Amino acid sequence: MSIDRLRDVFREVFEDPSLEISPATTALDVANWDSFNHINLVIAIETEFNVKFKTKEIKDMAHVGDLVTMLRAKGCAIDW
Amino acid sequence: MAYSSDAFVLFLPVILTAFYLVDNRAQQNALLGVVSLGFLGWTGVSNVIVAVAMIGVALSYLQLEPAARERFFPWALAVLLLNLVFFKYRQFIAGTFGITLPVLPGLVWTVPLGISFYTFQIIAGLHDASDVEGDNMERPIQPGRFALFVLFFPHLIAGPICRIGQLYRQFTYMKRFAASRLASGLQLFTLGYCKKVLIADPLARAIDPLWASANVGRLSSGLAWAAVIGFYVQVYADFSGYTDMGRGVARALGFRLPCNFRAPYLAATPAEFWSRWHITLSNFAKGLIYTPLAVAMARRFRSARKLGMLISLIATMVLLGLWHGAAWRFVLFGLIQGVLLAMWYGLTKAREIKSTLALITGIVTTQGLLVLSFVVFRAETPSATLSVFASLFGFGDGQVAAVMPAAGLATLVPGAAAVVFAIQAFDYFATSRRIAAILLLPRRIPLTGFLIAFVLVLAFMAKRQLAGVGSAGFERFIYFDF
Repeated sequence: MSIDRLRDVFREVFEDPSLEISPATTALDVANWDSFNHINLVIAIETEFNVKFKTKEIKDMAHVGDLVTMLRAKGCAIDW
Repeated sequence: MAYSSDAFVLFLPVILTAFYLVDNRAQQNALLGVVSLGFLGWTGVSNVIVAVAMIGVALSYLQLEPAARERFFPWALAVLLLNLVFFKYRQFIAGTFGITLPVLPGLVWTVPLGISFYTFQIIAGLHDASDVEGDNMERPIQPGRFALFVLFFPHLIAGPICRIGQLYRQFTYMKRFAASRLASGLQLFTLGYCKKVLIADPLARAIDPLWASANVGRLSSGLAWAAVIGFYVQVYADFSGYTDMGRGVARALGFRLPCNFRAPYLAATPAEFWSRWHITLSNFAKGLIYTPLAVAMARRFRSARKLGMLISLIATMVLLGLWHGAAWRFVLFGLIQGVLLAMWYGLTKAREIKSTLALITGIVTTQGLLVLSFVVFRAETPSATLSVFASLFGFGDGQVAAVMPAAGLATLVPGAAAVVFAIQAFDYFATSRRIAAILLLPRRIPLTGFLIAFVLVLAFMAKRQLAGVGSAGFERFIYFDF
């Protein structure tokens, strides 16, 4: 599975059709990635990939790389 | 005991001297424990009994194995919250449902000092306990240190509410005397003391009569604005003054407590206000109430997850409002704050402020709404709230002015507002390196700090002048009631 599916979730949540993400992308790099949209994003990803994050995982996601690592640990094969 | 009371100011040098004369960690901790209990028990032994009982509940819970802890966490939480409900909310709940409560015999059953704060403090501690322990509980929480984490007198009665990582480990090593730290601590204490006795208390004396039920319905527009803006300034000076004093004492003793206020009255959005006002409570609410609730609600309403999150946000703020006091006006205050936040998050697409004009517009709008929302917080009845709003916009009958001339209000309120604005402007820019260097000056030159602390002596004398004879009623802080 390519990263496109994850990127599309980001584009939908942040309402930015040209948004690109990389493992190093953090909340500071994306306009409106505040604490409110963080939960919005996490639940959108949960819905898209049919997984569930723990509260601690939600808190510990510092950059997109962390998120991908967590998704892989939950059995989602994501390639860059 | 209040930090601004004469007893505390006179007692502080004794505590500091004793603390640094003791030359090992265990004895320093024991001394802090005794002083903290004395501090809490100053106004009644029942305060100590309730606090110690709740710490006992927490320590029993912490004896459990990790798996058992997970299972019993809701029960520990229930005991702590039921205790809070019993002491603080039973009359309110009974009143709401029209139940008459039996008269309780024996002990004093009034609201114990600081109960709202240390209940949250204990909950944060239990929630975070695993953060200081290894996976196999190689270093289980040490009961004495956990008790100190809650009881430590510089934050016991009105915060800052610490997460375990912010304070617990500081009790694991001995504190050595450092003149620079003492100077810097005394400087901060002095700043807080001045905010309290030179701004908050004189303001309270001047505007409290305006809020009194006999007068509140009869204010002229000018007096109503003085009452409303005066209170907004007072509540900051009172509460941030308290926090500065607590953090200053802690620093003088070699401890660091987290920051609680960072120029809240320069916030340009409702969300920014809550990240600058009572920061430690906001963080507690965000981490332990809002996030779990919002995640659950967003999952529940998957297709309309933003709605679920906005409802969680409002619910969290209503709970925080109720936390302030057992009255519907605090529920309404929380609801207003929740709705403001929900509107901010729900209606705005781009939330970054880019131009100076947008920043200024944001500050004026946000602060205007907040000043008005604090009317609900201060006015004791719904009719008083309505009266104040009517008066603000010129619909009051203005008869109070005739009975009670606005002596000094015309200079006091704008003057206090200007000073508070200057303090906050300083805090606002204090992240820049140059100003940080000035702020930290006492660390390098203890003399500066001690000179600033000399101001404490002047303020101590000024307090007497300002208070006049027979008005000793201001040894309390607004947030002591919560």
